[in-house]
Amino acid sequence: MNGYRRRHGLLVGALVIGLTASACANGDDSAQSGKVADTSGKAPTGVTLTLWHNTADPTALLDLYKAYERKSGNTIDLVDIPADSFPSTVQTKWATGARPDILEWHGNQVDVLSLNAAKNMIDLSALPFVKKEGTLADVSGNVGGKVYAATVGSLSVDGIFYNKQVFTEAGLQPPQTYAELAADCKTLKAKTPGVTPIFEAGGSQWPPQILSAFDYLAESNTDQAYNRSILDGTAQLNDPNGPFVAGLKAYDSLRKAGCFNSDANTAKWEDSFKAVLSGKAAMVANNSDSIGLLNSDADNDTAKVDAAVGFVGLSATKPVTNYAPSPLGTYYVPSTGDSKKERAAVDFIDYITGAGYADYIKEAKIIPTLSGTATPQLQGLLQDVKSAYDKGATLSFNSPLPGFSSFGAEAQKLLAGQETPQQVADKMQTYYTQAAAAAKQ
Amino acid sequence: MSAIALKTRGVVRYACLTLFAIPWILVPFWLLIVNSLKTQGDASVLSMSWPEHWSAGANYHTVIDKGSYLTGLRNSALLAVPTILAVLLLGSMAAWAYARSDSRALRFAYYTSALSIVLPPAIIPTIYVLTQLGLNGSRLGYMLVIAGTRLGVVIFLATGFVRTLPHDFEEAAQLDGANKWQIYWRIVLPVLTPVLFTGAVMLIISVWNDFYFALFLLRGSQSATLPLTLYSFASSSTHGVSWNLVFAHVVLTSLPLVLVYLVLQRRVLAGLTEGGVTG
Amino acid sequence: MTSSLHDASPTAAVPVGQPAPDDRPLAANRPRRRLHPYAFALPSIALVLVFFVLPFLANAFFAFVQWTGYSDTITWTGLTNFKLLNQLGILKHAITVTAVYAITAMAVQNTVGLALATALQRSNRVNSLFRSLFFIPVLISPLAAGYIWAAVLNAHGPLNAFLSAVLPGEFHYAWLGHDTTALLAVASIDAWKLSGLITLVYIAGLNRIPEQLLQAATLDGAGAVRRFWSVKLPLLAPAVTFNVVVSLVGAFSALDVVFSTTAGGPGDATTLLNVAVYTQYGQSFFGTASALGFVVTLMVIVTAVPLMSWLRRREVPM
Repeated sequence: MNGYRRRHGLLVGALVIGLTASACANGDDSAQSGKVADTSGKAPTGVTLTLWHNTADPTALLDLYKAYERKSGNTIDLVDIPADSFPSTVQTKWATGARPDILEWHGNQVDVLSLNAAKNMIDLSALPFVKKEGTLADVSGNVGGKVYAATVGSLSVDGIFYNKQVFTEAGLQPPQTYAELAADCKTLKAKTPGVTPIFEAGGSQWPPQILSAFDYLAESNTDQAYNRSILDGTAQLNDPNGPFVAGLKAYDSLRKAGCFNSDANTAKWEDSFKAVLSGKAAMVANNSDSIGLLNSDADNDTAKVDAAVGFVGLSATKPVTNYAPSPLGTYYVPSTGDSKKERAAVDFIDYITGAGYADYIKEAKIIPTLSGTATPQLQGLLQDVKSAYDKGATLSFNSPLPGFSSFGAEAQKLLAGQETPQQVADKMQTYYTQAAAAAKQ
Repeated sequence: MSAIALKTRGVVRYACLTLFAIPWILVPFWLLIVNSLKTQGDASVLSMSWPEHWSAGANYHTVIDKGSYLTGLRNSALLAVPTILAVLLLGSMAAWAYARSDSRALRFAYYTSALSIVLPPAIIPTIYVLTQLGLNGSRLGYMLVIAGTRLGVVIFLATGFVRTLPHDFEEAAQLDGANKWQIYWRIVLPVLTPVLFTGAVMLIISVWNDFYFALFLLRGSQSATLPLTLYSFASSSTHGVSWNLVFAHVVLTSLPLVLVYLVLQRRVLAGLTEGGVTG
Repeated sequence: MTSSLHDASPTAAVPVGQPAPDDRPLAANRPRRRLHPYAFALPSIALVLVFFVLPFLANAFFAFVQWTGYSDTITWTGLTNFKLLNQLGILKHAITVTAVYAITAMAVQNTVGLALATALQRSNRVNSLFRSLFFIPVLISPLAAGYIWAAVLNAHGPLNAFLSAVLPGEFHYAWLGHDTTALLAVASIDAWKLSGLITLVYIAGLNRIPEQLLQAATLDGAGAVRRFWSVKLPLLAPAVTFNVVVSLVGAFSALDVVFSTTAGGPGDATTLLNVAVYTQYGQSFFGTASALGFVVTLMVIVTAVPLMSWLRRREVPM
């Protein structure tokens, strides 16, 4: 428009480019890639460590942090990351170059990759906890065979919660396959008409994924067979004869058969558990993290919960559960360039997986993820979870697949009858392809 | 129109207003307050009934204790007040310069500032800038960003106002030998007061309730402002929403501004209804 | 600028149009005619430049690059981000949702605001009480407003309790659980929050309309409605400008309300552009996030600027 503006524009443009260039450059030399955990010498004391933590941390974890502070003489500065927008907030903060000394984050491979762990995290593979984690160390916080995270939070195990009394009334055994599930639904509708056979919580965005995909595909993912096939391209999510489409179809036919609650599209996750506890619903497909909700619904009378609700693993044709590492209780050590703090952070990892672990498990009353610690007296329902897990468990197939954060919305649409199973699968394949391309670079 | 007809119209009008105010104001706020006094179980029903089992003390105590309320309050006050004052001062200074100059450069600067009112913030580059300046995560950095993105409003309002003043408005003082600063401080600023008051009201509401910038620019739970503590608190349970606690937090979070408003009510309303918003 | 309307305001300190005093010194003897306080703008320019312009331009740059958390390299990819977003339907959907949101919020705010303003125009004690009451929602944070209304609109909340009482049968509709109603509801919550302010601005505008004009219209035989449409409304134009811009800006930058009510759901029914940006961040795709942010900017420029100048032109000078 005029000389001033152009000059202004050029100046600002130059500034921007200069700024961006330096920002990118800074990103390269501040972090030291491929760093291995330093366990030499004594751990420092009197250090303040920032810890980005999920606000949904259970009390046992918060007490664990405090226990570490007492033992080590270090201070933990907790940075609250709201649970509702946990992934977005962490990744956005991370993108700006901000680094905590300790990061609580998902253990799924895709989530580890999204923070570029190979470059930005300290390799913890040599620490003693890795052996104690056993096969968990291969799937949680693991990229390229290197372990970047310690997982002390209980695994999230998917399966079916069922109301014992309703099943007794209907003379049924809890289902082990989808065929049995469909048959049970029919029986329940006939024998206990006032009870919803399967309560789906479409209003909470994530639960429908479990019955429509995660559970069905559990048996296909032994040794991560299925997700590996997707990752290396030998199979596609939208293969019309593939298990993903088959699972979606099975879910759709359950919907069409009227097995779900009438307000499935808007009911919330909390409602589903109130329903199965009270017997208004016969079954809910969800994960073991929800046991805390059940307990609080029963005013913490775990005996009441155990008497009312049971848990089984369910997959297409076999009773296999699927699991994923929980974001609560999985910790990474980012490379910050401050070797004293890094040493102290590694010491934190050592403590929570070593000296402090037993007390934590005792307080949390969960199934330990590390070997060598006795399983505490678990409430009945958790014992059910453990036996279902022991019977058969595979990693949830979405764990290493990029693009699956969009699946919740798609599963909701399937539940609402707004898309067909094939359409959902096609969309997920598109999401996956785009996300994988972006992730590969 | 006859006196009776006028009066009837008045009564009808007030009746309608009251009827409208019930769902618009009374229902939401009554629900809020009443449920903040109940136990979790009672509150989860979300009814408008009076509490059966009182849990007011426990609820509010939990909010203050676990909900970092006092920290949030302190930070909100510490950050908002100086920022708002700075924006009012610098904004009005700039408005004077923009209104009184023909320079193309300044006109460009004015339009850019005005544009900043409508355009959304870019959070990641903002953080890059702060990092380059060594201010990332700091309170000062946050205040500067808020100032930079809110100056537009004050500048827009005040420039329009100053433009309506005659050019020889400051002249008398100039002839008297006053320097620019004195002219600004003693002549221009007082005249701008109503516009700045309007601006201040809008600034206070927007800055005090800012959530987005605070989420990304403030590091550490020690620096959290009230909206952040509310959000963290409300999303902190794996057991679903405890409405009684969330509502108690909402009440406490809204209290400061509402109290200030109730005290300054008349002035605020007068300033806005007579003020220089549209002038 | 609407300098003409301003003259009638009681707050103007100097009456305009007053003839210059005769003893004005000769032009040659006058010191500098005009003040040019350039320096006074510098601190403000510095702040706006560094903390608004710079990030804004950088964001425009990032919209055209491939940048994710998976890798540190940033490469120029031109329009790829936009193509991607388009292919996935994200872009189009977010634009539609945002547009519906903006229009709904604008409509509700301005209707309610104008109606209340007309009813509460006169300054008496009862009116002040009502004005005060309706202003309270303006004060609370959008987050808080979201939490409150999420409870009111809950399937078992007071709204449905009321509807159950007046309508036959039980009414347990989940307002925030169905696509269309969720979007309308969230937009209305935003509108609810701002209506009190809009009302006051309209009152200010109404109070500026000279009585003579209205009396003249009445003498000409215009009824209340006619007076409103032909006299009051055109003269309210500056207030309308302000309010429309505020509504529009509010809708384009809305985030807090969505966060505390639907988090973008059900599905993606309330995924406004800003929420979609946030979702992209959540998957570590910063290039596409910036691209979406860029689209928001374009949309604002394309709608707000022409709208403002159109509204300004319609303002009737007096």
